[in-house]
Amino acid sequence: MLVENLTGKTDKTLVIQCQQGDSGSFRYLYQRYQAKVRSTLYQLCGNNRLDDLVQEVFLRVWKGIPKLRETAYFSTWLYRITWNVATDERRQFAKYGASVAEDLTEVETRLSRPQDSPNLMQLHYQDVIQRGLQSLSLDHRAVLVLHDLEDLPQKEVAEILHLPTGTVKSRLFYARQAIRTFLQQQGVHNASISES
Amino acid sequence: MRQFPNPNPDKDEKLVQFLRHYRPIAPTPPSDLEKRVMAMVQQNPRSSPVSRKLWIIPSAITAVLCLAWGGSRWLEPTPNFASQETQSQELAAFLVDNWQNVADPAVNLHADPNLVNQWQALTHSEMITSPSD
Repeated sequence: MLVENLTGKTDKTLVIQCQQGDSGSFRYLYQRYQAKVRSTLYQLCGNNRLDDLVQEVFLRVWKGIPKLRETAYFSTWLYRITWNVATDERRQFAKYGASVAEDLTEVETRLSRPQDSPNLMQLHYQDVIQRGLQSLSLDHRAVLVLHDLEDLPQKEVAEILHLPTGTVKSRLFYARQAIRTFLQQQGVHNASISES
Repeated sequence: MRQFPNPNPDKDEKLVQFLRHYRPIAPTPPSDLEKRVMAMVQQNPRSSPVSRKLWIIPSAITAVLCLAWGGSRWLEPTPNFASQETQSQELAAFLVDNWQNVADPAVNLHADPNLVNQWQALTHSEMITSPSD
């Protein structure tokens, strides 16, 4: 996937320049992708240590970029690193028991009556979806985030997660089923979904 | 491969639209995050591709020397043990035969009348010139 903006240079050109040690090109890659990386990490890991995780992803990218052979597939490789950082974070979470879920109720605690205003309703739904994502297993969450939220095709999701496409399809099926059930349990009904 | 049924694609599409519309938005990054990332990058300089390529030169020289040595060993003629064995058998037979001739000269002398005559001439002349005479 070739992306060309900001500098007018493709990912491939910037990656090759990075491989030659040009940190200026790396800055352009950072500016081009930091929002996607940040958003994906936020969906996968929540707000805890989000800045640290973003830094970790780009540090790994900088260290690993000389070994990247398929320079045209930089974004797939970047998502792969993001996924690795997210899974490492989950392992740390499981080991030390840090509370990722704590910040998920942050929005909810600010809400008394979400139906009072559209903005509050928006915040309410965002909170419900965030909690719904956290209720999924990391494997199901990753497929849902990458495919449905980041809008990546199933084939690319399969490459990022090193899975067969059939497994991506099955996980997507179960993930959607699970989050639909969660939304219904939270009082979000089909009518609300259709209105969006 | 098992096919996962999608009885209502429209329903899935609406769910996806809902999720995208209300997706949780990551908090805005701190203004200095880019600086921090770039500072980390500067602290982790990589060796340039040129200096990495310099390692190829001694490796290539070593590989060439190994190939040359291996090649010369390979081209060296291997000793023919079968031929050596035949030669040593012939030598042994010759020695045995020769020894028999020395020990019993009559064996071959009878076979060749000329030799017998020569032998007799020699022994006769020895008898004539013998100092004991």
